[in-house]
Amino acid sequence: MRRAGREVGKRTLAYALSVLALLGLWQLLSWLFQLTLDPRMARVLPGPLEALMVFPAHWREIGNHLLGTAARLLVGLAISLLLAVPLGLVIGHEPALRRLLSPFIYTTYPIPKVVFWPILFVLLGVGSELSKIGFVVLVVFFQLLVSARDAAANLPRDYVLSALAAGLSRVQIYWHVVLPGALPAVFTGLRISLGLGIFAVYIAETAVRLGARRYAGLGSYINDSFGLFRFESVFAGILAIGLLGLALYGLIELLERWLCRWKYLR
Amino acid sequence: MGEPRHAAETMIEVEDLQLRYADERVLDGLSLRVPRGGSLAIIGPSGCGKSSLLCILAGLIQPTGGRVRIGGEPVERPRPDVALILQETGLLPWKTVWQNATLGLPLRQAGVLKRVKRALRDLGLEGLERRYPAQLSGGEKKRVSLARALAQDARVLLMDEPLAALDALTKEHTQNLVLKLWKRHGFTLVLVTHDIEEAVFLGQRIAVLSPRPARLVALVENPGVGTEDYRQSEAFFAKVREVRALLQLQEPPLVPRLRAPSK
Ligand SMILES: Nc1ncnc2c1ncn2[C@@H]1O[C@H](COP(=O)(O)OP(=O)(O)OP(=O)(O)O)[C@@H](O)[C@H]1O
Ligand SMILES: [Mg+2]
Repeated sequence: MRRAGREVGKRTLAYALSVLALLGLWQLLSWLFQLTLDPRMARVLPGPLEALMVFPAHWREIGNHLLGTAARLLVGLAISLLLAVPLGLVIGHEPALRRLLSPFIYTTYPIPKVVFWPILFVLLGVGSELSKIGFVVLVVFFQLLVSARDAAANLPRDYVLSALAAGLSRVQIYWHVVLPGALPAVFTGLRISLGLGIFAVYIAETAVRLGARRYAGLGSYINDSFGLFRFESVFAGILAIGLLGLALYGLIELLERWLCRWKYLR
Repeated sequence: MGEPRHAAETMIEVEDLQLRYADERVLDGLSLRVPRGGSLAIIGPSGCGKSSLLCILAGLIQPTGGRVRIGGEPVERPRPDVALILQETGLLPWKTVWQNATLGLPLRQAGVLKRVKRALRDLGLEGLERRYPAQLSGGEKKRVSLARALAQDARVLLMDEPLAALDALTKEHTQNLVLKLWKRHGFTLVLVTHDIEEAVFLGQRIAVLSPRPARLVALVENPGVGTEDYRQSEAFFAKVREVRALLQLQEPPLVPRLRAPSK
C-alpha cells in the first residue's frame, strides 16, 4: 500500500515537473516573440502568466465552457465505448463475422470523419448538442472498434479453448475471456480516442456559432476570443483544454490500473 | 448399455478418426483405446495432430469422420467429467488462483466448494488463492491447473505438453505429483508430450504417431509405470531406447546429408 502511494507520488511529481518545463518553454518563446517581432504581432503569443491571469477574472465563464466541453466529450466517449467495444469484440471473436466485416471496417476507418459533418448536421439538427456529440462518436467509434476487434482477434486460442473445456458457454466466454483479454488494448484505444475526441469536440464547437451561449464550450470560447483579438483568453482556453485532457488521461490510467491490475503486478 | 463388459472396461474409445482442416488431412484413420483408470502417453512429430486429437477428445472440435466415445457416450461437446490442461496458457492471467481453479464449476452445488478447497490444500496452494498467475512459479501454475481438474472431479484428464516449459527438477517433481494423483484419484490419463522420458514415466501405453496425417505407428506396452523408482530402473531406460528408436524411424533427417565436396 505504501509502495503504491510512493509510486503515485513519484508520478505526480513527474507530471508537475513536465508541466513546469512546458510553461517555462512557453515563457521563453513568448519573450523571444516580444524581443524580435513588432509589438502588435508579438501579442499573438502572450506569456503563461498573462494567460493564467485571465482565470481569476473570468473563472465562471471559462468554467461553464469547460463544463460544456467536458460533458460533450464524456458523453461522446461513453456512447462510443458502449457501441464499439461489444461490437468489436464480437467481430474479432466470431470468425465468420470477422471475415465478413473486417474489410468494411478497414475501408471506413481511415476516412477523415469530417466529411460526414454535413450529413450529421442535417440528421441531428444544425448546431444541436446531438450533432456535436454525434461528431465525437463518429470520430472515436472507429478507433475503439478497431482496437477491440484486433485485440479479440489476436487473443491466444488456448485461453478460449481451456475456458470452453471448463464448460463455459459461448456467452460466458465473452465475459470471462474475450473482454478481460482485450481490455488492455481497449484502454490503449481509449487513450488515443481521448486525443481524437478533444479534437472532435473542438471542431464541433467552432463549426457553427448560434449566438453566445453559456455552455458553448472551450472551442467556441477560444474561437470568439480570437475574433476579439483577446489572445490571453485564447491561451487561457487552451490551458483549460490541456487541463481537461490531463485529468481525463489520469482518470483512464487509474481505471486501467484497477480493471487490469493483473497486468501491473510487481 | 446392453453391451458385454470387458475385463478392463474401456473409458476412451477412438475409432477410425478423421480430421481435415480445409484440404489438409490432419488425422487419418486413427484408432485407440484407453481402459478406465489407465494412462496413455501420445508422442509424435511436431504438427502431426496431437493437440487436435486432444481437442476432439475434449469435445472442442468435431472430427470429420470416425467415432469418439468416453465412458460409452459419444463426445459432442465439453463435458464436466473431462478436464483439459494446455501447455502454457491454460490459466487465465486476469483471474486469480481461486477464480482459475473454480472456473465453470457450479460452486453452489453441494460439496463442490469443499472439493475445491481440498484440491488447493492437497496441491500446496493454500494461501495463494488471491494471487494472479504472473505471481506464481512455473510449478505452482501447473499445480493450479491440476487442482482445477481435481476440483472438477474429472474422470478423464487430458494434458497437452503440460510440463514442457518447466526446469528439469520442477518437471520431475510435477511428474511425480501427476503419478501420485493418478494413482490416488483413479482418473483416466491421456498425456501428449515431446519428452520421451515423460512418456515412459507416465504412460502405461505409449502411442507413437507418424508425421501428418497422424497414424498409429506403434503402441508400446509399458507395464512398469506406477512408482517413482521406475525412473531409476534398467527397464525404464530400455523402454526409453525403444521409443526413441521408433521415433527416429519417423523423423526425416533435419539436416540434409552433406554431399561429398566435388574436386
Ligand atoms: N484451426 C486450424 N486451422 C487449420 N489448420 C490447423 C488448425 N489447427 C491446427 N492446424 C494444423 O493441423 C496440424 C496439426 O496441428 P496440431 O496442433 O494438432 O499438431 P501437434 O501435433 O499438436 O503439433 P505440436 O507438437 O507442434 O504441438 C498442423 O499442421 C496445423 O498447422
Ligand atoms: Mg500441440
